Amino acid sequence: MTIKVALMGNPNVGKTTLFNALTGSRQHVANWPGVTVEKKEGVALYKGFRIHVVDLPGIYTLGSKSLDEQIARDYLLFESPDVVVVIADAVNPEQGLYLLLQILELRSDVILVMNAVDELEREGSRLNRYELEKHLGVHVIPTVATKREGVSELLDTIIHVHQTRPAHQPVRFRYDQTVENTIEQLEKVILSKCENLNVPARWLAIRHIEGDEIVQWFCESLPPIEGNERKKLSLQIARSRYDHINVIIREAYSGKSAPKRLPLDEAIDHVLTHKYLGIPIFFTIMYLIFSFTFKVAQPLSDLIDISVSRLAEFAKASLGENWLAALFSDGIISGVGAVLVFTPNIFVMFLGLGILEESGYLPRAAFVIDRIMYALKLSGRSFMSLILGFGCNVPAILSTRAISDPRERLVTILVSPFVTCSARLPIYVLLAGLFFPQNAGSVLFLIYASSVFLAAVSSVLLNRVLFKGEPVPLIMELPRYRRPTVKGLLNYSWSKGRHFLQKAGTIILIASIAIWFLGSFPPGNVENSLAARIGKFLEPLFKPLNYDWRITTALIFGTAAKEIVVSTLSTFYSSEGLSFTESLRNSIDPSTALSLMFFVLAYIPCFATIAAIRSETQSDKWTLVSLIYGLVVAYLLAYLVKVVTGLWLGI
Amino acid sequence: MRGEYMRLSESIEGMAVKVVDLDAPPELRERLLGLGFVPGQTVIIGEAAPLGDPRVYIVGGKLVTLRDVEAQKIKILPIVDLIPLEMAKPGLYEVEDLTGGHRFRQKMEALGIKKGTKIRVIRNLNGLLAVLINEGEEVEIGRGWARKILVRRMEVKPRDDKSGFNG
Repeated sequence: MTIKVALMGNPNVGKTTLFNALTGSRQHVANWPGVTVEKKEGVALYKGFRIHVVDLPGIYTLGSKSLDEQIARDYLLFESPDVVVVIADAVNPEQGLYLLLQILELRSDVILVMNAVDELEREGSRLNRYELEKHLGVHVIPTVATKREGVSELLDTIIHVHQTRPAHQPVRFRYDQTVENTIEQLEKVILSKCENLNVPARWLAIRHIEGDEIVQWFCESLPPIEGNERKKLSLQIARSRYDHINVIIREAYSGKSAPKRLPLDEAIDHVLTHKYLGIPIFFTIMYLIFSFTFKVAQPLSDLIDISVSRLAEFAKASLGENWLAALFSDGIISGVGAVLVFTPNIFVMFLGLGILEESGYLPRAAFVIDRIMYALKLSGRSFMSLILGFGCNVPAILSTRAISDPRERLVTILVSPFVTCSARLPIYVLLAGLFFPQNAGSVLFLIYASSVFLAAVSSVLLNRVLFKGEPVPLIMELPRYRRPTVKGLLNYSWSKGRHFLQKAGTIILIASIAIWFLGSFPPGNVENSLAARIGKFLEPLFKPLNYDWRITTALIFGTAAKEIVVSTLSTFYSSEGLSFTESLRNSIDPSTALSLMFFVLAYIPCFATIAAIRSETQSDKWTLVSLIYGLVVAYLLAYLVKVVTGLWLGI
Repeated sequence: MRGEYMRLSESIEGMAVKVVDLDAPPELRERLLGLGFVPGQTVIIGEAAPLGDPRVYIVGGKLVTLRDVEAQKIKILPIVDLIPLEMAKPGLYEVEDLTGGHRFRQKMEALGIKKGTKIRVIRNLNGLLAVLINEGEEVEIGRGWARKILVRRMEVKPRDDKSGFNG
């Protein structure tokens, strides 16, 4: 028998830890349909039941319009879970109980989990679960999710609530008389106007007062409430809920002093968010994560690289000299291998990010750097992802999973490709060294500065076009510091990183075969290959930029991986008897070279990045927007650079 | 006092204030209510980010960050300007009361601390303070004593002007 369970609660109360404790490794992570918000599902097999658990986004209310809240509310309303588990922080339960009271107005088969009771006890306080049960009319389970304490009791209670429903009646919570009068009147209207309601009329009435448009969906044309009146009533409702919660807390907690920050937490916060030290510490930590991702993982990447080329050679040797062997070794093995090489970087990056997130530093980092990102209509949370992009865009885009606001996440994903990754560096180094030997460093700096500028301008622009320029609000909670657990970290990096292997892997496989095919057919000289023909066909398009078919073809090959641009150029240009660099220098002028660098900076990053964009946005539309936007910007920028430097250098 | 409210964005670090009203549009209002910013709620003002904005606010034991744009929409009244010295951030304070017994008062008098004494807090390491008494020599005061000395903040530093950093 299957029981559908929804996990709800504020952010940072240990919801995901509890989810992991309940479901173990039987998890499935996907996006909610059409949006960049993660949907986590898992199954617990317990006493003959299949308990299907959905981890809903962390929220504070059921009412406001943020996407997280809508997803959680819609799931509750339309997917009809059998049992709802609300998780509250045992140390600071106020906001969690506020959410609980809202949910209790909607349904009664709710279980309250008070998590982190061990931390509460360490503070010298206790909570009396029976007192809470008495006041709230729901089952209360104290847990320590990190140590799996209370998990089996929770599973027993889920089954019990599912079997005995609706024997348990929640305590009906009364508001002030003025509020109650309005609710009563509205209830009457609702019951007379709308039949077959599958939600309580009282809940609809309260939601209508609080200004929730979802009410329309159940019952149209309710009498409108004037703005000021609505505000007055909403504030009263909220006040009553908190008053009620405070009474409950007084009754149920013993030895609980006024809420206070832990002294150690306060001391750590003082340093990490310090007026002068905060930003340097942030950049130091960023640098550590960065070098962690790209240096520590390098030996592993190299190992994979070597294994892949050995495997390719082996395939070639054992299959003989035919097109099938070439497809396997040059196409599939090398192509997919080129992406597999990123795997260590990605898992190491998520390990680092996991430490920051689980310890509680990540929101502090967002807090410290927020003022700068606010100018770009983003918040501090995107900064981390964008910086990672200088190493590789793929982990950067995947790391946006730590960004909770879906709008911000989308913009961050779309601007990430402009952050120039390390794979583009060989091209810059080659061209800058060859054409601007005196000023190679300055040219390189110019490219990197332009990269930052492009990402910044694009984020402002995208925000203006997509979201009418509203900045993403930064209302977030700074959780208590916690020591990350090995198990938690492994779970974090595996659940976030394995998508890269699954999704990017499949698309890359197809792309590698396609690229190989274009480059190898018809057999013989690469100049006659389909790719070269496409290059020659597209040459007129690139005439204004002064790119010949060889550069065009190199750029096409570069979409597989940017490093390939250099190797393709070397193939084409070395065939003229001179050395490759000499012949390249003879063929194009410095202004074309500079414009080519800018083109490389902005155009399609690589298939792995496109695959990451596709899998993270779950949208063909946004993937296409990113592609086209990148191409257009690249072309215009390259043209601009060509014209300006052409005038300047007098060519 | 009615009508003479302040905005949460204008409050000063270390202050305790009471929420009076929310000026926010419905969407933001619900969010703020869910986080505990309800009329009547006590909020303690925490530290600002290195560039002055956003700031941390302590609501019902939770640390919540708000940008000034959002904090500006919350009307508040300052409530307590008396705090135990234990909680005092660096700055200048005036002693309002000594809440200990006779022996404690004697000890304090020996140090020169009585009602009206000016105490400048140099640093505060979780209640272990280094202070100047009437701008004199530096003295260390432990948490047990600091808890019993009620002080009022004298220097109200205006918040740093951040107008030069606009989006």
